[in-house]
Amino acid sequence: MLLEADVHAYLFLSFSLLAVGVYGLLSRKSVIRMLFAVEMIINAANINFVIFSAQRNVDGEIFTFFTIGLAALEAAVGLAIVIVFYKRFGEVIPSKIRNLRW
Amino acid sequence: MESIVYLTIGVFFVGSVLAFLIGHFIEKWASFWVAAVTGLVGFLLSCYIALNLHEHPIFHEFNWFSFGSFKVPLGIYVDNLAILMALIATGIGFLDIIFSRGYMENDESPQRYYFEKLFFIGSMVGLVFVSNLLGLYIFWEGVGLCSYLLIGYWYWKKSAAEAAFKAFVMTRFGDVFMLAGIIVAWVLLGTINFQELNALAIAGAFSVKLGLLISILLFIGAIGKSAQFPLFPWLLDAMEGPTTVSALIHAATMVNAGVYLVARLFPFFDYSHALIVVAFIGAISAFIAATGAMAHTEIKKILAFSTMEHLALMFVAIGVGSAIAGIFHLLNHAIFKALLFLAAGAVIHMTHEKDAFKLGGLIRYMPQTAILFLIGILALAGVPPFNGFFSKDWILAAVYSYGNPVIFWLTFIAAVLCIAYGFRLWFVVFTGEPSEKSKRAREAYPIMLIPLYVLAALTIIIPFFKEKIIHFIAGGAEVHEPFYVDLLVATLTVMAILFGIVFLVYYKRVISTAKFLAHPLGKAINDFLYNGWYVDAAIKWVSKHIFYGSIAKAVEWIDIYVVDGAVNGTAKLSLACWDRCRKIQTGDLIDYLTYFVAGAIVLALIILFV
Repeated sequence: MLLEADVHAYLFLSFSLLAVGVYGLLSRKSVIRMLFAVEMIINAANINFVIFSAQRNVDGEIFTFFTIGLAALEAAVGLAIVIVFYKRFGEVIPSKIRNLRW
Repeated sequence: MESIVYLTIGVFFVGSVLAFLIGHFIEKWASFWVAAVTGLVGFLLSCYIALNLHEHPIFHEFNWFSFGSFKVPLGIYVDNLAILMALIATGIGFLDIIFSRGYMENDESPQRYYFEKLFFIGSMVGLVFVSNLLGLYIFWEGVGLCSYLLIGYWYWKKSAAEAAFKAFVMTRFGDVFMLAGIIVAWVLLGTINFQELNALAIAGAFSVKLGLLISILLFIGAIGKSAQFPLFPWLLDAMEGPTTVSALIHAATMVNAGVYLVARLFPFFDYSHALIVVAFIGAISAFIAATGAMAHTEIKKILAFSTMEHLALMFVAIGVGSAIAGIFHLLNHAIFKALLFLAAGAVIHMTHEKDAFKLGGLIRYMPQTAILFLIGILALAGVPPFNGFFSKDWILAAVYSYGNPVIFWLTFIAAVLCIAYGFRLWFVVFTGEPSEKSKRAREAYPIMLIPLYVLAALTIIIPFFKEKIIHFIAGGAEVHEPFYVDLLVATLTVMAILFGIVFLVYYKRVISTAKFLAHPLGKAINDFLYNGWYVDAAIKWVSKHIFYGSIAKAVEWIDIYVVDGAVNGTAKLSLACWDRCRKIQTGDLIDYLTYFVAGAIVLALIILFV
């Protein structure tokens, strides 16, 4: 069993990972880097699942495997979208493509 | 018995549709036979009801529809008054249908004519048979619609179309007030049934002021329908329609509806002190109409003025508390006015001339019509022993005993003037030098003369059955008929003097009217009377300057700046909001992500600290 203090430490870790991911998502220009940041956010959530499941049962850990699988799928689809994106606009910088508005 | 009453109403509506369909698809003049049979069946059914109507009136009511606890009743109530009105409408309507075969011989679409005519009679029968104000209002509007259609029967004539429109709008103006009266009665008294309203009035269950309000509102509707001051100009313009239609409107149906309404609610009006208003309006209308008839030159318009005068006499009779006299006069008036209008129709049909002064000497060419017309005039003027004398004399006696000098003198002058304008018309049309148009005229067809003979016979027969008829109208109640020998002698003397003057002016032509008309004052008086005291012009002025110029303009301003302004303002406001809000939609994915993250953080903070 994890101690109370350890849980706090791990939660701090996952929060840091989330903060870094969000920062990366907002500050990077390239779509590929943004995808990396999304992976970090997903993994922050995974760490939370694992920590809390360690205190009770294995449900959270099982769930984490699904999340990892989903993250892999997301990366595959995301990269495919990036390729189409590149073919269409000739670059992968979303700030330069302003089609998503009125 | 209820089913026979419903059948009587229904037979006219079925007959009207049948007449149109048969006339349209098979043979257009077959519609005449359908109409004649329908009219006869309707009349016989009314007779059957009248003969089987004993002490107890026929009453049947059902729920038309209901919203929750709010129920809308509809039904029939047939007593002696109602069945008398129905007999007038169906009987004279039937004779009118027969006469129309001759009068409308050159018509292109008799099926349309007979459809409208039967619908008209059916509406009138329904109007007198229904048991409450709502049903009355429905048929009231049906009568109004048919009058519009029939006055504008020759719709390709601009004057006819305009006259129809005028009649429709003017009667509708009164109807708006009537509808308001019905709603007030329904909301504040809780009933619209005639008998219940009268019972409430007799019991004194509501305040006199409320009763007065309802009575006046209903009476304005009656003014419009019965062409009383100030809503009468439509009646004169209505002469644009076929003369048979005028006969139907003036004698059998439409204009009687107003008198019927007041007579039906007589105890209600009595309790509400509204009868004095009825009497005054009647007296003023009678005076205007009688003087107007003295000055007018068209045959039909003179008769129209006289209709207005006689309706006014009925209102005066009811107003002074003698409703039986009013209804008796209604019966007599229906008969002699139908006779006069149909005889005038025969003259107009044979000469194609409406202006009396362009005719003359017709007695040589149309002797039978001339005699029948003369009988009508004698009855109209109230010469004994014709039927008009008995009811008119009774009305004058009732007004005399009522004791209001203004009402009495206006009514008296109007009543005695009948003989003057009646004989003026007859002398001008039937005596003197025949004009070119008169020379080409010939006697009316037998099918036109037969209804005239029936009506002429009735004007002479009615006085013999006077007691029985009055007893029937009163429904067994005691009738007090005032009688003043001095008044009778005075009336007959004045009538004789007036006849003498008219005889000298228009028959012997020893006194010329030309000098009177040449004088500017004489001409002004003549124009004043000819135009019905300029009431029409006054109504036009009021509508133009007050209703159109002020009220309509104000309403238009409110419509444009308040109603439309609210709608357009909402649009403008949302447009402005959109214009400002759209700026945050930059199209940059990073910006959207930033909003999303900022929102998530705010939500997290709210969950944590609130």
